[in-house]
Amino acid sequence: MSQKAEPRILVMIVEDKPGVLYKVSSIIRRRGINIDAISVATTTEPGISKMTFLVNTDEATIEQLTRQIEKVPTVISVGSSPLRNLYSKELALVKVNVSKPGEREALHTLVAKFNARIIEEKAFTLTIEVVGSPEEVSAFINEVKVIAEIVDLSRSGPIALSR
Amino acid sequence: MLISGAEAIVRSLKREGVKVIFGIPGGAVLPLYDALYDSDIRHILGRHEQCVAHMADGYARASGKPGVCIATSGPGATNLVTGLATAYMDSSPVVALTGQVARHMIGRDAFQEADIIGIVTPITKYCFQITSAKEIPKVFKTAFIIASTRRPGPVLIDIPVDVQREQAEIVFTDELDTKGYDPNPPRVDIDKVKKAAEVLAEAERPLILSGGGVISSGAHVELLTLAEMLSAPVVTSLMGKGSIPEDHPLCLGMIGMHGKAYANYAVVECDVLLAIGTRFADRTTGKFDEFAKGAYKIHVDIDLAEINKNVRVDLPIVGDAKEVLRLLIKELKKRKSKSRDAWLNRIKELRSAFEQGVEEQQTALKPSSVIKLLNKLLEPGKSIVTTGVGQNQMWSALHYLARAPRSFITSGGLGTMGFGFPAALGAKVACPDKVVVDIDGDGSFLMTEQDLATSVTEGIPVIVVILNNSSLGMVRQWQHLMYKRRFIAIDLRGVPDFVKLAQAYGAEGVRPGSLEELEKALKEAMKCEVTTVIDVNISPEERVFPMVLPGRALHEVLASEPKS
Ligand SMILES: Cc1ncc(C[n+]2csc(CCOP(=O)(O)OP(=O)(O)O)c2C)c(N)n1
Repeated sequence: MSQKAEPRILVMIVEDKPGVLYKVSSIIRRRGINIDAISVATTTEPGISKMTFLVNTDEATIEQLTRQIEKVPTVISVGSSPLRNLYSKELALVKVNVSKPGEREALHTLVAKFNARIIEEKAFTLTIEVVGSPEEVSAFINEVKVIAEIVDLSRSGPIALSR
Repeated sequence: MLISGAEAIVRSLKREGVKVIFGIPGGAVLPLYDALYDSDIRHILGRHEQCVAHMADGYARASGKPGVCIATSGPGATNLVTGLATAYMDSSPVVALTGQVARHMIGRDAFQEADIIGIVTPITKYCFQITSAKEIPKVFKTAFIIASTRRPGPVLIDIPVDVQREQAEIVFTDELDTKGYDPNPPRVDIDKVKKAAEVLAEAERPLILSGGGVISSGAHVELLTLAEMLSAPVVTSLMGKGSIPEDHPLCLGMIGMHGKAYANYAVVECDVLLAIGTRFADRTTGKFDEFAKGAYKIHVDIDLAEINKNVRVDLPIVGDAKEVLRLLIKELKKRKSKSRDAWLNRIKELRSAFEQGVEEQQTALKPSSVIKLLNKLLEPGKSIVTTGVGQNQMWSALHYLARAPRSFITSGGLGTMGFGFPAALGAKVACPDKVVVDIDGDGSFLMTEQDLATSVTEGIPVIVVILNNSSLGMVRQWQHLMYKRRFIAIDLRGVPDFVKLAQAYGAEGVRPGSLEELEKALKEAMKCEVTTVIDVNISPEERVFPMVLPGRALHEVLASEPKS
């Protein structure tokens, strides 16, 4: 069993009831594990939601967590996997200040390179939407930072599907 | 027909077969109490909500049926917390009902509002807040199912006061309000049972470790059959006491921090360990990595989350203890087991090596002689012992012979001082024909003694035997052994006078001066119609041995007081 901590995804199908997120996150907190990202959304079935957590931990711990979470009566099923074994996507919205000459052009080039999209272009700001794996989104943001100042940023956290 | 939420609650409780409730009223549960007025459910008025929770817990542990308690919103609810955490750690089916402020007041810091769901979520198996009277039947059905099936545990239902008053068309169903909970035990993997049978049949030195799960699944008969079939000695955890008659030749008693030294050595020397219904608590195993190090470990538990949590095992079998044991017995009948003569001789050797000197004739009022006297006077199957926490608990665990399941009730996981007495009251309510004795410490008893009032006014006679060392004895023992005898904050100075205290409540109080006087006092107390507090003065210098120091392995057990 791998004792290495790495980004792992916990996916659970839950009943859409108050307190599920609280119960599950308290199980994770109790183990002293930080949740790096969460996304919660409805599924095709009414009353049923899917929650996706990104945590950084080792295999034994994630297995223990999975079993603890499985016991929660409002949790219908739970699974986990290292992030690298999944199709995972994340969305980020990045608002950038453009004041100096050349910045705008450089950003347009970057946007093209990452298949991103400019969703609003104003006199002094650009708002960009980027979709990709969490690593791609991070790489994109890092490159933006080199070019210009980011004034606001919102990341969705990853959602995942098994390969 | 329209009925109120409160009436629906009472009807739901009746549908679950609830005959008795422990509680304390308050504004936010008054509609419920008003509905109880018309019902034949017995209500026992406690004097502190911690106690009503422990009473419900004691009731549950003695009877195997869920114990029910009620508290009002805010402080009533928060006072339940210790009781719920205690039940959670020991997997006891308690159903707690709390009042809540009216729905439109929730979140406005209303008078006596506490976010009890937020507070108890981590210490309950599940909790509900009811938002409409119509939900009541389903929620109650689900709550009782969740509390009492699989691995049992406490469940809390929070009910806003206006929901109790709400008139609604209420339909009673057996439908469950959950999609993610399967009340049926997990399906047993028969291949694993076959493998276990093979390994056990071939074992030279098999040992069974029996835990509280054997008691809650009612598997004590199967356990004994299996042990005898295999000629395998049995050790228990603290929670497992009573899962095998402790006077049976194959039973070695409890292992762990204050387990019997020879039982601990049996764990060290066994080659196959079959652990059933135990969560390998650190107090049971000592250092995890050293626990039964050389042995092939089989772990039977209903809770998958317990597998490999503390101790890594070779063969996990997830399932109900009784079912697994039945299957295992069936498989073993097809196989020939090895002779265990050598192993049983070795166990005999260990036993006599460590029992020497321990068994000297005792006439003075010493913890061991007091408890051994109880062994003599209490009839198996007709008595229940509960304990406080600390030395009194460990002496009870070491010396009291639990000869039937559900006859030894103690706060194992949480170690809650003050548990023993209210748990004894709950046990007595569940089993009125049994003699119930709380072996307690002076410090522990003081934490919940006000419920002597409950025992007297509600007519619940139990016997409290205080092993009174005028100190927080177990803390003193740790300071003695690990903090160079720098005693601080342990001196209780013999205050109060427990005899007068008992009398002030209208109970009996006695202070025997010798073992003969104690015997007489106990015999009288067994016939007495009110609770008797027997204050037994013992020396603060008495320490509990054997002891495995914290963080050490079982083979490092100190069989007796270290020379210093
Ligand atoms: C509620 C609670 N508070 C504190 C402790 C810590 N503690 C463990 S044993 C002990 C001393 C118990 O003293 P007493 O009840 O007199 O029993 P003794 O050890 O003397 O038999 C204490 C304070 C505890 N277990 N529970």
